[in-house]
Amino acid sequence: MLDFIENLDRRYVFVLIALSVALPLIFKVTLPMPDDPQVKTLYDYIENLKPGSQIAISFDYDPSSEPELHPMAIALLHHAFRKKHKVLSFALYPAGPSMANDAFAKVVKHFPEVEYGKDYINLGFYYGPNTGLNQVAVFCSDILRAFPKDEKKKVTGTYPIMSGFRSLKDAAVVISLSAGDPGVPAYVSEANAKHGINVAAGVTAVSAPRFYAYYNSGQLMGLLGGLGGAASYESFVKVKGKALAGMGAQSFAHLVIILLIIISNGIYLIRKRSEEPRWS
Amino acid sequence: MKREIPLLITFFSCLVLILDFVIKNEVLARLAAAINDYVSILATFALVLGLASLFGVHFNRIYKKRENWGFSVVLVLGFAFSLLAYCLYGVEKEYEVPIPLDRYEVLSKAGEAQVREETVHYLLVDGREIRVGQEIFELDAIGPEHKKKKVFYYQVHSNYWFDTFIFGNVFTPLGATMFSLLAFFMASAAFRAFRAKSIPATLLLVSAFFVMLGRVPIGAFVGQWLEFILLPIATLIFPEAWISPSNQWFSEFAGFIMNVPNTAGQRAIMIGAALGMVAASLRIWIGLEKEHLGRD
Repeated sequence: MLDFIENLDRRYVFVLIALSVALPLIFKVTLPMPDDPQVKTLYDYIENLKPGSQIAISFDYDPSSEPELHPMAIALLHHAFRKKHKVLSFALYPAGPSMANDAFAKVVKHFPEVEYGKDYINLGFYYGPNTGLNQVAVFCSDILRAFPKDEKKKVTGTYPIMSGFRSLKDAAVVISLSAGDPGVPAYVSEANAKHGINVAAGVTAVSAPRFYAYYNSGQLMGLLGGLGGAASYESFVKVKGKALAGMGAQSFAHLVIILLIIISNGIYLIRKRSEEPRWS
Repeated sequence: MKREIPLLITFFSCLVLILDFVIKNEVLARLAAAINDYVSILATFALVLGLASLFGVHFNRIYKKRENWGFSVVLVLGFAFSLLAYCLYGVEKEYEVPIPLDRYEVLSKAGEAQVREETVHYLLVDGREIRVGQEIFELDAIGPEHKKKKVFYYQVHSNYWFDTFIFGNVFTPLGATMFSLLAFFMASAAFRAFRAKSIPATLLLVSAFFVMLGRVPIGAFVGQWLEFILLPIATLIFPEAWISPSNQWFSEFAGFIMNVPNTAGQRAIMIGAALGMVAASLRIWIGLEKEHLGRD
């Protein structure tokens, strides 16, 4: 029996993971999300902004990170439009504007009064080096120079939303939804460190530990880490999104992985005790 | 001079950017902005060079029919198709397509989005229609006999091939598939390799256990369950001790791990890397490092 488990074919592990993810999604298992303090600071900040404040969202991700970062974007847009804030989006990733278009399309249908060019705008993608520092430096000095035309290929300066927005310095907060570089470090180094602009971040779970240092030093005023961060924001905003639905699946997948690790370590200890060095 | 001029350009560009970071000055800010623009333009050239190199490698592989050359064919065809679709229509661009009146009425009644009516103004000059803006059309000097209005109906369409087919039906599912495969391989690797073989490995294992449970809602249920078993035992062993029941202790302990040991480690790595970057940049700035200029 021990030999069988010890040499378990990885396809059994794959099946276990597939079931632990699929079954909670099929049976719609939802679990209450505990409050995340890093998420709550951003929620409280947006909640307490006066209506009409400008929120800049940088869509620095592509479809590979969509399951984790897209629910964040959708929850943030719900919150912003509900509080009558204006949203400006741009991207340091080539696929970012398409992700932004999709997020806007999903949220705007719930807010018929919201208009493109007046309440929100998708400025598009700005190309530059991988660090993102140059791009963010241009956004901080004159955003119209970076985006003379928006994603619809119309002159950006003619939109009413742009009348009070010349650079990132005019934004109440800049939120980078980032799957890697270029992304959050560029906004922290340039927008926050140099210009004192409020910066918040939504990042994938795998990269979240790196950004706790920024959050704890006050360089990030909010941090949404992975699907858990997105689900926490959804529960604050009271939006039943994909993140809350996905947390059931993630919970069971984590449990399965923990059980597998406990089993494998149990066998390891039994083997070690009986001095049969089969593990190499 | 072949080396001195690039070194001088490097020195002055770096000087401007550093001074701009520490001194608030309009001239410096403009110079820094111009340098940032140049960097973006140069990076675009690098992108073109990268694409040319990518094509060179894959054409060569197809030409010589090296191992897995079929994948190179897919890459080249996929790239050519995407580029063509983008050049012809543009990504995410919306196209106004004229629609007939009956279709307009049907779409309007159905509440179909992005359907609109537009009035176009014409001036009749020698029997010919010349399209003009509303401002010109409304000039008093132009008599009514020279004015003509036409109504057009439009529906906005996105480009199907790029927006729906390439991005929505190919790129998005492929990207999501690649990322979700990680879960399977991570689970398999954790089962095979995540062992408490040494003290650091055990610490990592214990931290992973708490973080994995603490970051998901089921952690609260597991906490409650453990509390149900452990609290009476703990009370029996330490009857005088004050034990606070809380089903969030996995979450709180995970928060402690992320905020204290993790932050400390991340800071050490980041500060170390930043100091190394400062040293390397300083060498390039003052001309001690010349590798980027080539070997000639």
